[in-house]
Amino acid sequence: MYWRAINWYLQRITGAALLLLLIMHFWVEHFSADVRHGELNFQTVQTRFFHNPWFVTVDILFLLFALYHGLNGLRNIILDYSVIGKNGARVITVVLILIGLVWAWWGIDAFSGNNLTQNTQQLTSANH
Amino acid sequence: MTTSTAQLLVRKYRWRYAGMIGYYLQRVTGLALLGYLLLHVHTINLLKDPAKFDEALATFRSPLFKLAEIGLLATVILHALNGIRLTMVDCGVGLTKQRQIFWCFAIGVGAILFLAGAIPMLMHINFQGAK
Repeated sequence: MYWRAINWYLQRITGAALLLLLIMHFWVEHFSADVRHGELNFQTVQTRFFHNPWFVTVDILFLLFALYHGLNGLRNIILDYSVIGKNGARVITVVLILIGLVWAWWGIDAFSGNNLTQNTQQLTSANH
Repeated sequence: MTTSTAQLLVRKYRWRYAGMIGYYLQRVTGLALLGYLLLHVHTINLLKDPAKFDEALATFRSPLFKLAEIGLLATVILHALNGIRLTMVDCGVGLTKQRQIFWCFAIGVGAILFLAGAIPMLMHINFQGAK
């Protein structure tokens, strides 16, 4: 199968997956977590964010799927409206992949690079 | 009873261009969602700095951002439901009914879902300023 066809299928598959992940993301972050009462602040968000590693997994997956789907969509639009040759398209693809990698690292870093996590876990266990 | 020019125009657009409207709708909402993802990841990164994060939350409490949030809801719903329609078209499901699916499902059901979410959101906007 050609890469273009795989890309086309992946756009549909990630789209369907994003719908599921969006529902999970909303359920976890806005309904099951204790954020619906009182005012939202750093403490509630931080506690909610890190109280279950599976939820972090869901959010990271959501980010990666959204990045692929979104940047691939952007690539489709750019290639549709621009008169560039094969090499130009390659440059666009490489640039978008690099943007995606940096963006993904930036998002995952919000979880893994957070030094305040330890503090939050202690707070969470103290509350139980 | 005669049909007015306006009605004819509406009919023409509704039936002839449903696919094209859906096509542009998907592109515009998709770009908007990508822009939102940028803002969202930026905000979540601020969790490393409590003061900055609370500052961002204060900004998001302003009526302008609450309205933008309601706009985001509309954007997500349109992109998701129209995306379902597109996938159905790609799979050859309901090809002859794709215009009806666009107006009744993507727009109609979308509007109901949007109102179900937007009305409670609107009621929570505090136009007097932050609490």
